[in-house]
Amino acid sequence: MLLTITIPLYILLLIYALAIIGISVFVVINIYRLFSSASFTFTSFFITFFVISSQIIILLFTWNILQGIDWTTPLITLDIPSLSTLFNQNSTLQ
Amino acid sequence: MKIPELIKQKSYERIVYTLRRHPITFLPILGLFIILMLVPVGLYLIANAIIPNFTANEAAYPAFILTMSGYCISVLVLFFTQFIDYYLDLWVVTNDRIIDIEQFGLFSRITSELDLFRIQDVSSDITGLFSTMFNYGDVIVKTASNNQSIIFRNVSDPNTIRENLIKLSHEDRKYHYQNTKDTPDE
Repeated sequence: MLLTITIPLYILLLIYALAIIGISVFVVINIYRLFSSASFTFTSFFITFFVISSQIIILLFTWNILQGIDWTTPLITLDIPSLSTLFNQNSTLQ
Repeated sequence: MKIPELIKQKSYERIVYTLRRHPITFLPILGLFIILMLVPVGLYLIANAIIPNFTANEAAYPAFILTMSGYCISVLVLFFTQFIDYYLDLWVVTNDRIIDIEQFGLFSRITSELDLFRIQDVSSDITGLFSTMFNYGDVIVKTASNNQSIIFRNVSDPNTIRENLIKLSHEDRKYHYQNTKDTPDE
């Protein structure tokens, strides 16, 4: 008897969403550091603009590509022998 | 916040230099960033060649796109953090003191000050091909006490900065000794 565990695709989407939230916090901290250290100049504005706009473009690009995906599609399917099977195997070995 | 606020500029103080590292020192990070951003393109080409109908695969293709999207955004944040680390190293020279603000990572910043009249020795160090070509290097400012020195790392035109620091130090010393003489002994 096999125990089947299916990891659906939306798990990856959840991990991705969490990563994006974490990354956004980092970006906000970085911008705060720029302001608090009197370093918000044209150069730093340009780099900040480049980084944020690139991130938005990547997010939009990802959104655009992944439209119409069935997120319940199994990503990984694991076939694990159930505990009872394991015990049976052990008893057979003895 | 502006630099006068950051250094708590005194009424008689004049900012002479606001120094940051030479932009050329950021180029290796920029190069690494470009290489890291090209990795997904290479991986896509490899995956497309190895897996038949890769873009039609219901699980592998979305997983690949999500992973690469997360990777690219992470690389951008890494680049931004490196830029902050580079850009937030700041040296402010006024006609009274030197303020050294150094950023270490995202959450560590060390600020130190040095009075110009205490300066004992100023030296500049231009080492390497790129430093010589683009005229950047370190300026090392030392005081009489061994434990206090400030290094302006990879700043543009270090020789001129060294000469001007020596002039400023002389002027400040004259001003301080004048004031000491004027003050009556207790």
